[in-house]
Order: sequence, then structure tokens, then C-alpha cells
Amino acid sequence: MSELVERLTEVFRNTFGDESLVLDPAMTADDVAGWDSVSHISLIYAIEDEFGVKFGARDIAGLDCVGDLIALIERRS
Amino acid sequence: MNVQSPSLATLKAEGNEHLAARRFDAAASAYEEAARLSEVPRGGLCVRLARAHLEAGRPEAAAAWLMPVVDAAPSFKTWAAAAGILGRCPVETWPRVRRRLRVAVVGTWTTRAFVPLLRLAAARLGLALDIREPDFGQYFNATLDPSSALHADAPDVVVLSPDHRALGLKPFTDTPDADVAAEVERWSGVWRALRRHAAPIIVQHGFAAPGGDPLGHYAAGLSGARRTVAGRINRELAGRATEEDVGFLSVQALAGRLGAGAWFDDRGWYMAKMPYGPEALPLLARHTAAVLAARVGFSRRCLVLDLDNTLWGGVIGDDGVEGIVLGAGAVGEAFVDFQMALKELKGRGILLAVCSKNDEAVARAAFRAHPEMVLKEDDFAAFVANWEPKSGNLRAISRALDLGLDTLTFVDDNPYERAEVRRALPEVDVPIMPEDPTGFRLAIEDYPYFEPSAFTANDRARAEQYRARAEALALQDATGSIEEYQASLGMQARFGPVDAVNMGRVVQLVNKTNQFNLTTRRRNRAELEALLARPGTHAFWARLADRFADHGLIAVAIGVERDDPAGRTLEVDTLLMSCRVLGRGVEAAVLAELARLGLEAGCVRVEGAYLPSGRNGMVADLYPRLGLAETGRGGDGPEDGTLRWAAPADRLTRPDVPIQVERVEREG
Repeated sequence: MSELVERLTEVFRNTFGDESLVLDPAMTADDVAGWDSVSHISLIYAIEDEFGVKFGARDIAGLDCVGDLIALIERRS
Repeated sequence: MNVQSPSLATLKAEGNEHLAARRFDAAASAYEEAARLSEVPRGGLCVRLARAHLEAGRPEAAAAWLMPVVDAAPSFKTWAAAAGILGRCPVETWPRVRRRLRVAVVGTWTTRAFVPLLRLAAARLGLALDIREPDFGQYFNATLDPSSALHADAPDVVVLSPDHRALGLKPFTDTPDADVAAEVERWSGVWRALRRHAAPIIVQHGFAAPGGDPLGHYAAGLSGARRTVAGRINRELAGRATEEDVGFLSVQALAGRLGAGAWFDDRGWYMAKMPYGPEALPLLARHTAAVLAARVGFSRRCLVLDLDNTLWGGVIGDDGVEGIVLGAGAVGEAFVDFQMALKELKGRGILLAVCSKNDEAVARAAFRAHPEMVLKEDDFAAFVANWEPKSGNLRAISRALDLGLDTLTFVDDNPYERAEVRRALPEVDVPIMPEDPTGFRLAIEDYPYFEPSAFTANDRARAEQYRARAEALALQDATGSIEEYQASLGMQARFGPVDAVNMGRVVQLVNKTNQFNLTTRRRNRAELEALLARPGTHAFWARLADRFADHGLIAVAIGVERDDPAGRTLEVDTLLMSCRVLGRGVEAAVLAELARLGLEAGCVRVEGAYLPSGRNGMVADLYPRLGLAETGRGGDGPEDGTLRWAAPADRLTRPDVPIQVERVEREG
């Protein structure tokens, strides 16, 4: 597992309080309990903090699945 | 630049490996070793430690490791992770919980991500909060409608958080005075609605204005410009809050401190109606908890200070008065400024004390001889200088000033001393000071836990009273018997009615007094006013002065008339006294006054109860000592351990104490 995915996994686990959560590039908001617009913001804030990046609203709106998120982080880092 | 020593990085990596492989005990060990390498580990390490301990089945250790996160940088990621883990630790496992409160957080924005952070920040202060929020967009419905779920819940605390967009101001108004008045009325009207049938503590977040105004800087001088009107509403709401005993939190000040650019995050607003950014939410939580803690009497009251390299540069024992850095140069000026900040704190009622590793004479000489010394010896309520461990000295200071360890804050430039005290006395708050003394003044001004809940002339005079008491105690050693000593004090007590002038102080005492408190009945202002207004209730305060000092308002007594088979009875609902004036006969004089009021109202007997609270053991035998006879044990339900005594009222009215009593119509 790449370092990025490892760190991202930890952020997801902390945000959703699920120690056993495993990331899959095809995963979407529907696949994770409690992933709504509010926890989405918390997730974005935590990701920005963890990776030292800043996303624009259009970046965020363009995210459909975890794979898109990983790609976005890689682009912005 | 983020430089870590090799061993720290290695240990953390080791811990991470163990954690990923679910070897939680091994992970905890590796992380604990890493934690020992710094005075207080960074937030991220604390979170990992907590997680490892929790997964290994040790929630107490987990919860304990989460508390330092609140003092660490306001990183949303770390705080949110910590708050999540804390949520999985039962409240019984949290460290040093002193009060549980039910809280409603009511915002005009989405508060869901803020609430867990508030719970974490409050846990750090010994408050276990059970927090509920109404549905989004229900700020006025939930508070104004008496049939709302919020009113049915009857929470102990309501945190009101409107954001600036809820002000709905026009870009420019020709009627600024009316607009301001209407808005202040609208927002403060919520307090009155909340208090109509209940008496919650209310914490009001103020308004913060981001960005500018269409009129740019010019707007600042125009009373009708939106930004100017918003600022006025904020200020007037704050003033109204103080008048109506509502805790106000200046969001504007916090936003200014962080910088509005970082405080507001419009992406969050457009996406989920969250106006505040990732660094703002932890700060807002930390300060909301501090204001709430102040309202329940949990603020820190005494600042204990080291001397060398804390109040001046250098070591007085080595450098002498001529050699310490104070006044001259940048660093010397910084120390002077720091001392001035401390003097200002003292001026508003925070006690100062010295705890230094030094020869006492040498330490005192610095205050007497150095021309730039801002603080003087008599600014300190206690002065301890010796070579003993500071934790022991802090215990002694706590006893001498009769203040709990949980009201002390200890400031020392030396991490060794800080760590020693932190380990030995976890109740004492030990903030980390910046290494550079030019940052000391701001560090102490940023410290949120001295937040007052009322500001009275008594607070200003308190430091003088404590010092005078210490002087009186010294005199006691010199004089002969205790009776002679007490007679020599020339004590005079004044009793007077509770009115608008002294209500603030009375409320403070009712909520802060722990030890000399027979029934520990906590009531806020509204509740007290309601009780005192009832017919058959007799209440008064007592002031005490002796030849050393005026001790101010030191006791509160409330008696309630009731019928009883044994005859019309005055029941002592509340009898509390400041420990400062213990052992002088004041308690007998106060009870005598209650008995006198009861007799005047037609009561033949006085009855009092002792409700054990875990902290008021010292008054368990007060009533028998004052000549009352036991009448029963136990109460209904949660008052087990209650003891009751009674005596004929006319037997209590002439106690044998060397106190001259005067009754007044009003204080002053």
C-alpha cells in the first residue's frame, strides 16, 4: 500500500470512527455509513491538514469516488 | 521545518507498524516511549497513543492521553480524531470529571462537526457534556417555542451560536439606531424565552464580521454602513449579556487573533452551511469550554510563578540584582511587559504566588532592590523559595491560600519543573510557555482559563485580603490563646439583604463554595431571585471586617419557613461561608441571625440539614457544635447520608463569639 493511501486510510478511519475501514478506489459516499455533506467537509478539512494541500470547491464537487480523491491529492501535493 | 530526532521517528514508525498489524499493546509501548522524549507529545502522537490504549482495552489511559490535544495546535484533523476516540471511552473512564452537564448547542449554522470538539475541550476542564442540537435552521423555533424539544429537554446549558449571515442587514441603513436596537432585542429575546420556565446557563457566541464593506475603510466612520452596524450589534449584545448574566464569547476577538482569512472558510458555507474553517472550530471549542467552565465556577484563580528566567532573565542567585536581565534591551523590556501583564491579572482578582528554587532572602531581595521590578513582594499572596521539589511547595501554597489544586496554574520556563509538577499534581494546570521571553506576555493573555464569570469590586480587593489574612495568621503565632487572639482582631460583622447591588457576589459564592457549604444547593441568578421572592423565605449576606482587612461578603444564609408537627420551623436551605474566615465564630453569628429572623416571623424552631457532597466534610458536625440536636437521618432518595438537626430558635440567638454585629439596609 502506498504511503499516501496509508495516511488517507487513517484519515478516513478517524473521520468515520471505523477502525476496520479499508479504502477501495471504487468506494463512494454510499458505501460508508455516515458520509454526508457535513462529514464530507470534516473529511476534506482533515485531508487538507494531513497532506498540507488546499482544495477548491470545484475540485471537491468533481469527486465521485475515493479513486478521484487519491488522484486529486496527488495532483495538489 | 519539522525536524524529529531519529529515535522519535523510529519509535513512531515502530508504533505505526504495530498498530496496523493490530498489536495494540506493542503499539502503545512504542508510542509511550516516543512520548517520553518530549515534554508533551504532539497532538498526533497523543491520538495514536489513545487509539492504541483504547483498542488494547484501556479506556482510562486512552482518555487521559486525549486531554493534551486541547492545548496543542488547533488542528482540525487531530481534534476531530481525538474527539472521536473520546466518544468511544465511557464517561466514567475520563480523568477528573467534576461535573456532568446536559447541553444544547443551537446555531444558525451546521454545528455537527463542532459539537464533538466542544465535548473534548470541556472534558479537559473536568466537564462531561451530554450535547444535543436541534435540527438545522431551528435557532428561533427551538428557543422561542415553549413546546419545542429543547424546552422539554430542559438542558443545564444552552450555547447559542449565530453567525454573521443570520443578521440579515441591508448594505446601508438610514436608521442605524433602530436597526441595532431591533437586532439586539431579537437575539437577547431568546435568553428571556429560555428563562421563562427554566434557568439554564447561557453562553452566547457573538458575531464576527469577515471581509470588508462596499464602502471600504470609509464605512468605519459611517453609522449606517453594514459593517459598522454589525459591530455595534455585537458590542451592545455583549453589554446586554453581562447585564443579564449570560456568558458572552467574543468570536470577533478570536477571529481577529487567528486572522479572518483563516477563521472563515466560505467553501464550507456553500457546501454544508459551516462558516468556520478547520483551525477556527478547535479554537471556538476551546474558548466556549473556558467560558462555560467559568460559569460553573471552574476557572483557575491563582497563578503560581517561578522567578529565574520567568519574571526576569538570568538566575538571581548567580547573577545578583545587578546581573539579571530586566528593563534594558529587548529581552529586558519583554520581562517588564510580562510583569505588567501579571500585575493586570492580579488587579482583576487573580491571585499571584511565587514558587522558586532559590534562597528565600536572595529571592526577596530582588523585589526590594531592582529598580525595574514591576511586581512587588506584596503583590504575591504567597511567596515560597526553597530547594524542595516544586510539587510539594504547590501543595503547601494550595493549603496556605485555602484554594484547591484545581484552581492553580503554574508557570515556569523550565520544562523539568513543569513536567515534575504535571506528573505529581495532575489537577494543577501547567501551560507550556514559549522559549522566547518576548512571547510571554501574549502567552499569558491567550491563556483562556482565568475567564471570570462576574467582575466585582471584591475581585479587585481579593489579593489584598489574602495577603492580610496571611499576616493575621502570622500574628496568631505570636499571640497567646485563640480567644485572646480572636478578641484582639476587633471583628465586626454586618448582615444585609440580598439585592441587585450584591446579587453577583452572592451568586458567585453559592456556586463556588465547596467546603463550608451545608447543602451545596447550586442556583444561578434567575433561580436565586425566584427563591428569594417567595414568601416565607429569609435570606441575607454577611460581611466581616477586622483590624487587618475588610474581608468583604463572606457568607450567605437562606432560611425557608415551613409547618412541622413540632412547631413552625425555619429550615436552613443554604448556609455557606468562605473558608477565609473559618474558626472565628462567624458561623455561630450567622446562624443566630437566621434564628432571629425566624423568631420575628413566628417560627419556634430552626432545623438544618447536612448533605454530604464529598467536599464539605468539614461541616458535617457544624450543627451539633452550635448546639443543635439530631432529629433524623436520610432524605428522600438521592439525599442519603443526609443528617438533620434542630433547636428551639430562641436558644440560638445569643452565641458567645467576639464579633460585633450590625444590621444594614444595604451594602456599603
